[in-house]
Amino acid sequence: MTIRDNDALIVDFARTPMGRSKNGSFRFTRAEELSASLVDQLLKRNEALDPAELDDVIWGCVMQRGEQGFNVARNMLLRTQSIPHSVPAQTVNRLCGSSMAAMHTAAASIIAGLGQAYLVGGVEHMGHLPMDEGIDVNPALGLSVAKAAGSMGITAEYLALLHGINREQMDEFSLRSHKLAAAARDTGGFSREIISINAHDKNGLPYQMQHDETIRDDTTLEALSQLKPVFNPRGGTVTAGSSSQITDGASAMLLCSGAYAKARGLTALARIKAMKVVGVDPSIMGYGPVPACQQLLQDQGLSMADIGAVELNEAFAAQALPVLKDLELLDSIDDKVNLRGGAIALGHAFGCSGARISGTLLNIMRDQQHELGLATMCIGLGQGIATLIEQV
Amino acid sequence: MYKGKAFELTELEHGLRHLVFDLDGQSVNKFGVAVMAELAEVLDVLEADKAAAGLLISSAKDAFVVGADIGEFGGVFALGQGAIVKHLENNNHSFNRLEDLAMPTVVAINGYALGGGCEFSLACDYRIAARGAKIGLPETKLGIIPGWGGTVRLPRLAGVDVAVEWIASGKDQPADKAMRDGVVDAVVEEAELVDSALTVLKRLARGELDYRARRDQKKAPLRHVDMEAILAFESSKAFIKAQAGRNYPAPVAAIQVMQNAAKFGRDDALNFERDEFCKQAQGDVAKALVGLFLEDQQMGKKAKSLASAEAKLACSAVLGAGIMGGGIAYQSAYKGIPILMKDIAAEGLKQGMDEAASLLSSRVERGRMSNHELAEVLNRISPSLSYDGFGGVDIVVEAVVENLELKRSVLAEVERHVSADTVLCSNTSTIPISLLAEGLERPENFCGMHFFNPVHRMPLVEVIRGKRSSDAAVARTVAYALAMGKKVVVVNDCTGFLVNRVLFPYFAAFSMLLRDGADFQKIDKCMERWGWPMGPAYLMDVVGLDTGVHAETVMAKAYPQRMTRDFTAAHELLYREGRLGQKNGVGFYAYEKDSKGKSKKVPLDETYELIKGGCVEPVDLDDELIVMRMMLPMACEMLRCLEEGIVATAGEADMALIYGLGFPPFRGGLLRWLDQLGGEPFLQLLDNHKSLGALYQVSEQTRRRLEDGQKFYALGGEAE
Repeated sequence: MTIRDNDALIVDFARTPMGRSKNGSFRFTRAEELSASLVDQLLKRNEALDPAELDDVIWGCVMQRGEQGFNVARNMLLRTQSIPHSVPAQTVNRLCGSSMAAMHTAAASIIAGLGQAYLVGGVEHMGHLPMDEGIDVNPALGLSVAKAAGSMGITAEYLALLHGINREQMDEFSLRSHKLAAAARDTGGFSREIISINAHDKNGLPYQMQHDETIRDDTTLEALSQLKPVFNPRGGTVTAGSSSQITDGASAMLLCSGAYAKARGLTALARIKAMKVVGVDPSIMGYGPVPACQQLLQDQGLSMADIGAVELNEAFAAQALPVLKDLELLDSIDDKVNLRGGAIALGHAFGCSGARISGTLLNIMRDQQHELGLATMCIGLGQGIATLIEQV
Repeated sequence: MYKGKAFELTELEHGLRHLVFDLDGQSVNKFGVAVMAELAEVLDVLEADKAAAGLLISSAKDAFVVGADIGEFGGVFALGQGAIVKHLENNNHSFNRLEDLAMPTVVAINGYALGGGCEFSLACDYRIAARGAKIGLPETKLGIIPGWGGTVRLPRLAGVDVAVEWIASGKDQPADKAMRDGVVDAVVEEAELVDSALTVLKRLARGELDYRARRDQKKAPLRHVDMEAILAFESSKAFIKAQAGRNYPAPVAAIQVMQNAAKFGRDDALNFERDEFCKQAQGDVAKALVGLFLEDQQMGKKAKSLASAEAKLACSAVLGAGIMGGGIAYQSAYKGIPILMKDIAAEGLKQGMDEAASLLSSRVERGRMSNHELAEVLNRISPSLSYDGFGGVDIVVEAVVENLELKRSVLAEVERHVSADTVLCSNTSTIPISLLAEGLERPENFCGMHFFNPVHRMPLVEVIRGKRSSDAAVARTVAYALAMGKKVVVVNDCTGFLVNRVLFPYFAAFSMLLRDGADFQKIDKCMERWGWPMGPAYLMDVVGLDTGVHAETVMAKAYPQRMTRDFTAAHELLYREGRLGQKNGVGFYAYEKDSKGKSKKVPLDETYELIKGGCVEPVDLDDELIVMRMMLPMACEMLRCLEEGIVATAGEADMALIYGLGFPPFRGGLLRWLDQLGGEPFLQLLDNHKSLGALYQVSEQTRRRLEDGQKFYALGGEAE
């Protein structure tokens, strides 16, 4: 395939291992430090890209306060050993879709010819910045939308109810996530993407963390079925086991233009072929990927049959299953969807997730020789985001 | 592999080595000359040990290393530049060798790692601290700067801002703060400390963790580009200069050293540190502060030994619930000793309880105390209008109004309600204890316990041994003061005891200066510039003009020759106008609440009108003259106290004034200041001021002593 000068190319991707937010390995590691050590190591293995030539650093992050406040992208940059002060940085917030939005901004800038090289990614230290603190919901929202739309678990319950998804299906989906993630780990499926990070073990002592600590190898359908519903204790179906895990992690991706790659002799892995972001009713925020993907495919004159691999962010099993159903992916789930597990096993560190699922998609496409891959996620308060990636 | 008096080196499995610091015959580990020599020998062994794969360092004491042996400082500093340089270079060389060992090093920090102990651990690759451990570089509190690489390694390891904060404040940092600041790598339970450090060492030895990058970082120049370095250091210096004040140069000097050395690697950077250390160490401020440190330790030891025989302090009582009584009740309860607070009026009790409650609330507001703790402390105070329960108390502090007859009658009354073993004390600021003891059935159980206002904030308690006070009574009173978290000086009986006895001549000097036309605001500014926390007019306002006038009368009666006045003092004129000072909002100055509700002093032009009657035409006096006219009477009275044996040593005398009056610490104390001034010049100054009367005179005996050139402190800094 020919690469055009203003193609938005993915040069490399890496992520930290995912740490549990509750007493996990990153409990003594700040979000900027986590990001900076990841970035330094990613840049180190891409020496042909001179960090001084980055046009911008765009970091996704949702809870922008405390250590993640005051433009965490810039704070992270200032803590790297590799990026000079002359490179700018911004933090973006599209809730769960933040680092995918960062990718989009960079890709759009490249396509538009505004810049040639970008570092994107994101971070969320949900252990240090709990997601339910520091939020002040406007009561006037009640004039037109459901207050409960602000509670993602309730929207998942609602979506499951509307689509007739039951508890057993959710537990099966969750089990699948853990099994696939464990298998990926054991067969080196994550070896290209995980960069080991200095962390603290359960005794509080420094160690090199190499693997995700969120995957529960030993979980069973029975164990999952015993869990109590967390969002609607009476009659609800969504449990902690069928929700994305609360996690600390960071992801990073290097993007550049076709012209830049050629000039620097960089080998690109893929091209960002198309991007789409849409809105839906806040109360069914989990459904966002459906219109996002449908519109993206339609624009490209493609159908789901043309797509080799799909990464759908597993906010909740109760949300993923209706999405897969309406995207007509349920029958091909085992061939195409989240083949290395998803956020139920790996966690959904908000700001990190968008670049993470895109990078994992890329690695699956490379390993399985797919031409096209689709990464998509639902976003709180009713949005959907999707990215179409093409191997080069 | 090595066994000395301080260090033992042993082999562990997998080629690991364990160095244990356990200084023979001492309760703590510290770096003295002998220890430094041993460390060099240990390093000889380690450098030759080709099989070694890693080094674990730990302490066998309750604390890791409390620092350099400060007792050796005086001697070393006095020997001059060459000796100081040698003292620094020996250990710097050793710490560099430790840092350069061909193996990873992990140090286990328990208790304290202060000064040289902190610098020792900074030379290691990984630092594992016990929960509860404290780490810090207190050198600037002694008027010096870190000398064994602290200004070099700390900014390179943890950044300029952490280094500035730690070094300029001199504060001990708790382990979790040290972890957040990037100075330690893990905080674990004390029981697991050595095992934990060993686990980390094994990871390092196996290559699972990297130590070289960090070692390189500590040895490299700082990463700041010029643009960053200038702002980082200049803004820090400006901030710290404002905080430390012009009389304490060491904190800013430490930052300057970091700045000068920023572009250099470890070995060159250490030269900057060494040169500045030498300069600071030979200055008067370092001499004064190192001396104070040693005297403070001495004072603490003496108080502890006096108190050790007596520990019976299950319950206490205070009589009178005024400002002092309420303060005493608060402090006792806060420190865990239940206290009965008796007053004759319910209104009084309410005031005392309100005082305690407001102090506690403010702690809660500042996040220093939980609501539950507040309730616990308040519950330890039992307000009462009767003597019920007094039979079971171990010590009673009488804190009623400063009036001999009243105090005597209250003391006689309470004596009938307590056990034969109970110790009675009087919190009086001036009245001789032996006078108060007259009329008591058991005068041997009685002594003085002079608190300063506000009780919770002022660190000093004077314990006064009356003519008939028993050792046991003094011992229990000292123990009580220590339990209340106070510094204790035991003095012999006289009117005013030690602190007020030397304070009132100073106030008298102030009155004379005003009489002679000096401006009280100028005097305040002048004395504050000299180092006092507040000038005499402001201080008198804080003490209270009524209290001042009353105490002066008592003093004048006891020392008529010196303290009787033949003129009406300015503060008397103000007092007659109903001005009581801060307590009723107006004295020399007016006191207003600022926007944050804090009391603020504002100048008042009317004051000049009011005191005009007692003054001659205004004159502009030279600053130096003002200082001497103020300080000489205080010094003369102090010399009399020493001569009369009111206070045992020069060191205790100086500490009492520092803790009791806020005498400027950088001057090292009143007597250390006299040493610096010199005997002959001091006598000359007295002669110059002869016309001012007896306050400006010393006894023949003292005069001879000064003429002979006798100093109060030896060259090394210890009190003679």
